[in-house]
Amino acid sequence: MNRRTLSWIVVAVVVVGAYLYGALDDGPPRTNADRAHALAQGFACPVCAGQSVAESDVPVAREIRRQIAVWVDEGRSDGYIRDQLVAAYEADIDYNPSGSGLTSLVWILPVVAGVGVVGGLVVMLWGRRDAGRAGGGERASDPVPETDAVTAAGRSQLAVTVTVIVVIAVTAGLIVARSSGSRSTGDSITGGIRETTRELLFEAQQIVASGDIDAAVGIYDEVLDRQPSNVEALTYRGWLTARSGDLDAAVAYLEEAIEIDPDYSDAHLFRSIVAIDQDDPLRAEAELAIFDSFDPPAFAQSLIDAAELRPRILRARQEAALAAVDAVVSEADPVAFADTSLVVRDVALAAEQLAAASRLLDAVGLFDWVLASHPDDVEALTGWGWLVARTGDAELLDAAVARLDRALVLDPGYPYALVYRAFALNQQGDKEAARADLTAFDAAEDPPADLVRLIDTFNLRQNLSPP
Amino acid sequence: MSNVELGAIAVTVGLTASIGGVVTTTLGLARIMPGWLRPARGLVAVTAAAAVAAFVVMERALITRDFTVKYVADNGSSATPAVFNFATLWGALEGSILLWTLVLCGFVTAVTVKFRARADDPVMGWALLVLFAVCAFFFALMVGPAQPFVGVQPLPGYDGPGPNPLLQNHILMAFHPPILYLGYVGFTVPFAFAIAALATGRLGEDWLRATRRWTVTAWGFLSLGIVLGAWWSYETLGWGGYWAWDPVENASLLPWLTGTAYLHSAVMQERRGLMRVWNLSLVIATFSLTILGTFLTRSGVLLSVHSFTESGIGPAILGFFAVVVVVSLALIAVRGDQLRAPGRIGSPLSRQGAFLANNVAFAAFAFVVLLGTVFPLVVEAVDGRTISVGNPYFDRMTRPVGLVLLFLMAVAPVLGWDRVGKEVLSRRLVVPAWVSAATLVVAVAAGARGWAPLLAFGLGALAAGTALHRLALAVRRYRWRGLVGRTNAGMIVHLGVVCIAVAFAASQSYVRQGELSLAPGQTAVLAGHEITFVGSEIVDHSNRVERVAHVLVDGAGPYGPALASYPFASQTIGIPSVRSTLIDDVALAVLSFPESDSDGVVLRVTVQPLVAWLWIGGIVMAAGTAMALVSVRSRPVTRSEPEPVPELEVAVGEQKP
Amino acid sequence: MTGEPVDPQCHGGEPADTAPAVTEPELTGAALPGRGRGRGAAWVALPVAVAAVLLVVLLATGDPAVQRRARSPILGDLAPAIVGTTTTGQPFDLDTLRGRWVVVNFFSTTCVPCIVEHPELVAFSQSHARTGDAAVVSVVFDDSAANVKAFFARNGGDWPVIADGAGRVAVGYGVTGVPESYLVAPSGLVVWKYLGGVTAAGLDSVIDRLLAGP
Repeated sequence: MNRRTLSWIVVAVVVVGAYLYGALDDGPPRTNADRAHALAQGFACPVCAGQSVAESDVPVAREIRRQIAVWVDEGRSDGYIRDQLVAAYEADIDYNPSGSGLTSLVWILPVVAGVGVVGGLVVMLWGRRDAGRAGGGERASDPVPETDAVTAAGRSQLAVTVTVIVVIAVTAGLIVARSSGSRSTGDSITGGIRETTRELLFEAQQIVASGDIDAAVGIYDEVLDRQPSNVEALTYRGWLTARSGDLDAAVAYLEEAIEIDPDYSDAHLFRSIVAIDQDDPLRAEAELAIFDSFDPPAFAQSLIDAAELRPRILRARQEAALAAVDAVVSEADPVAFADTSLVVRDVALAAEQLAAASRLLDAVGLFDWVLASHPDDVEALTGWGWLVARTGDAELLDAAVARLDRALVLDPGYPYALVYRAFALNQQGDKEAARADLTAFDAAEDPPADLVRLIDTFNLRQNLSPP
Repeated sequence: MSNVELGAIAVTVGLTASIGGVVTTTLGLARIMPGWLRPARGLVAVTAAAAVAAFVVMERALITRDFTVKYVADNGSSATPAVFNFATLWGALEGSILLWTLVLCGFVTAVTVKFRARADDPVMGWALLVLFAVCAFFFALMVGPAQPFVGVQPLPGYDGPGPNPLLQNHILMAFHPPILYLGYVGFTVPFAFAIAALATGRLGEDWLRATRRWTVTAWGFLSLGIVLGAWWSYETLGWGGYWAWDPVENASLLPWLTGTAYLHSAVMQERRGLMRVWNLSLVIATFSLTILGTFLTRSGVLLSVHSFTESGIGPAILGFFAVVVVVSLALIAVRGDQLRAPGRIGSPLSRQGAFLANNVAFAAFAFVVLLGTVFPLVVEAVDGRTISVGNPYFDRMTRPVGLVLLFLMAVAPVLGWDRVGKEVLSRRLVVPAWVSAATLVVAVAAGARGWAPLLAFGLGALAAGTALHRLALAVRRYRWRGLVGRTNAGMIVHLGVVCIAVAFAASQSYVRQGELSLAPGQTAVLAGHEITFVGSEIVDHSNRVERVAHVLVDGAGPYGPALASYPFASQTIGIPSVRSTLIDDVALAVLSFPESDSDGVVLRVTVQPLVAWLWIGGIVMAAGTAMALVSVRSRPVTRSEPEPVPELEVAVGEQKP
Repeated sequence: MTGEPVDPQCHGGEPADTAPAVTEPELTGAALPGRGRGRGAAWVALPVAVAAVLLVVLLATGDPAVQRRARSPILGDLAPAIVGTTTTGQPFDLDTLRGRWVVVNFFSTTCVPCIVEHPELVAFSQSHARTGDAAVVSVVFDDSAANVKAFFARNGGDWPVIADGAGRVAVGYGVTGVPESYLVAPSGLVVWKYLGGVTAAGLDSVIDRLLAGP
């Protein structure tokens, strides 16, 4: 083996190695933006002279670019995007001529011509070389031997050759037309109607409704396989996981969904339900509040009712608060409220819980404990006033109204104090003052729903209405 | 006399003189007036003088803003800067025909002077007849449907709208059309001689030798013109691209493809007497395609950004095209029996085989481009549907042909005219193969992926390696003479083509584009480049108002993409700005200054690797073409001299005319 | 024209020779007695000529390209959905207007023909307000909500305006520019497309004509 042969071997190894590495490994995945750009280059801007959607700056081209980007983000296939655009703008928006019907000729003709000419030349040169060999390899000075070669046998051989070339050429043309004359690259998968992420998700929703959770989980996994950041799939995958009992895994899915799209309300609702199942009422309350801010759809309301979400959150919050408060105040020498990590809301919840258990004194004591540290805490003053006012005792009512007065001096618009004082004043018989408080409450924007419910429950308005 | 009258007289004189030339040369050739061939040459001078006069009158009208000339009133403006005002002559339809005619007359004059010694030769006479006929056609266009000198009475104080805004925001517009026309029109000369050869029946290699330099010159200008056109698109249209398979771009590519095929197959005829019908067909096809391109650009039958406004000139050009094709084909059919080649192709594994393959590939390329360009018309004519054929089709269909051509470019120069032994081939190819391997490794290491671009890089490097190796050997032996002459300078042209092919593959495959919405001071990252929007300002120019966005790219700049409003244009025109390096380009274009956020900007940022090498490749091609024209006759090498060293057989083999 | 195959003549003559090319043309012709293939060139030239003539006919008879773009494939189809929130925050669904004539108008506040067109839409909307048999819906194109509010405050009109954020509606209808309007029949089918501005009289006459039957 001489040096040059060795050199060729090394070159061949290097070239083949580098090429295979580069051609087989696709490198970093193409982003959605890249795919959208490539697609936009393949569609004609409907109002421009010979510019593609990717090139033109006219508004319609920008709208189409934007829409293509949305479709790509939704995981639509090239074929779907093409069909949508053709349905709206006619077939000539597609720069890729169809591989079927008359237009397929644009693909087939060049391939047929190219393969035919190359095949013909190869056969001609090859055949002549053989003929030359047959003639003794010498350079014939006249063309007679070759002419003789074209005998009847030669003719039939020629016919066979021509037929073979034509068949190969046409087949190649058809294959090219078939493979190139349609849009399928990018994201489409084979297998009928399961073309797009959107359709898959819809299908999954149907299956969930019919109760076949395992099948639905399979579909969501398929979506996530193709689009790992599909928020809807993450959310519902998480919800189904929660329903099957694996709360920790569900949390992982839902947290990811919320991180990707904090505005997707369903994820917050499911996260809230999972949180209450995990005895985390604080988190459940917070997520439910976010969910409420999104103008929840009707199905969500039924889901919330079915899960008894709101009462469970309230109960859990109260229990947790009571436990926390109890742990502190039950000690022989309780530390001052200011020295604990508790908040007034916890104390109020615990007090409600105690009051409900007819331990009114303990409840009031809790507020006293808070007020010892923070004499001007509006919430504590109000809570104290309301607990005491509910006893109905005339003397205690005065004390309650005094506390509520104090609260309203500190925060004149505090709706809870206004409503509670209206109740108290009504019991004292001072309907005029009670009415004034109720009017002040009605003037405020966004009245708390529980107060409205309270007023209705006890018919306060009818009681206060002038005779 | 007014400009309108002067110009009209010049055009009329030109038409009369060229028709006179047709008549006198016909009479002379028909031996009715045998002596009239020589005086016909005098008419060439008259024709040329008329074209120059018309050109000068139009420029005078433009420069003095003589709005009584309708062309100036429609396209001129007192606000247009001097360079663009001069270039306005070819900015609209009538003026472009005037420039075309001027260039044509220049070529005719040059031919007459060059071949003055052969004035009585019938071949020369026929060539002159064809040239006169083409001149007459273009002058007739200027008398009929594309009259440049039409008078109007403007209101006092009238000022014109100025040329199309896209044509007055880049200096390349002053060069691109004249250079492209030098290319287009230059192919008239080989066409005339090809027709002459067919008509006289002197079908040997004579006409081909006579026109070789003319063909190379025209080809060089056409190549340069196309590259400059792509450059102009890139610098002014703002979509980050330079080639969009637009009908007009295709129309300029078609004659280039057939012309390139001809440059190679002509060598086979010169050396071996092969492919005679084919060569005549290629020359005729090249000329016909330039006429077809003229039609497509000016008739409005196909949609293109580069189109002139629709006009009545279409039928005339189409008719001329039909006449050219039919007459040429009839001549070929009639002379068919005389077109017997004296030789035939030997081994496929030889230069002959490679050139044959090269011609098949170029023909296939041209067929694909032509078919794709006119196919929408075919479909509409057959079943009334409208379809479009664009990017995806051309990319997919031309890519394999392009790769085959790169491969042929790599191996053909190392093959001999006859079969070469394996040993010789191995010796000649081992260095280019190493170049190719190294390039491939570097490309993969730099992150290049995908089968097609990597194949293009590998084959391109192989072709470049071959070309450089050949050049190095030739220079070692002949010093500077090793760089000139058709074969060696041809290697330089190959280098330019490789640059363009590799740059095309890389920029098309690895383009990244994004639309960024930025507030002042905000930075975004796209494809590894930091784009910082500093702020915007409004700049008043004499002919336009620009709102310029100041943008930093990787901290350098500021670059100033802008939106410009011209007083007579309905839309604003984007003026892109490009940060160009040898590695990659960052092209910036302002999409809008949104009304909702008065300080912000929406930028389109396009990052493409290696774009600069397109222009470098174009310049290398042009330089190589110029060096190919340098005469090497002085070199004391004769045909009979034995090949000095096997290595150099190729390098010196074809230097002899 | 360039697609013709390499002429077989080139390969059918004498064998390859290392000698320089024959340069005497007359000799060339004479040196090669025909072998029955002398008309080969004609046989190749003929189909090429036919193809070229066909091309010329095609090019000569083709409509100017700009005229080929004013049709809409959605005519006669169910109107593409418009579901969303109006610029005043109300939910909107085109389907709820089923049973009425609906003018779906695409506009932008900065386009001059849109401003010119607007009073016509106002007139149309008001003349049908009492009978309630027709409604106008505008889809704002490439513009901000604040601009739309100002535009309607200045020019009148109180019909719902949908901001087409993702371009879904515009692309669904195949809008090519503004202003552009589509007339949707009570059945929900798109029956008319207006490129450019509409007039109240024009809309009414089309509705009357369609009501009168085909």
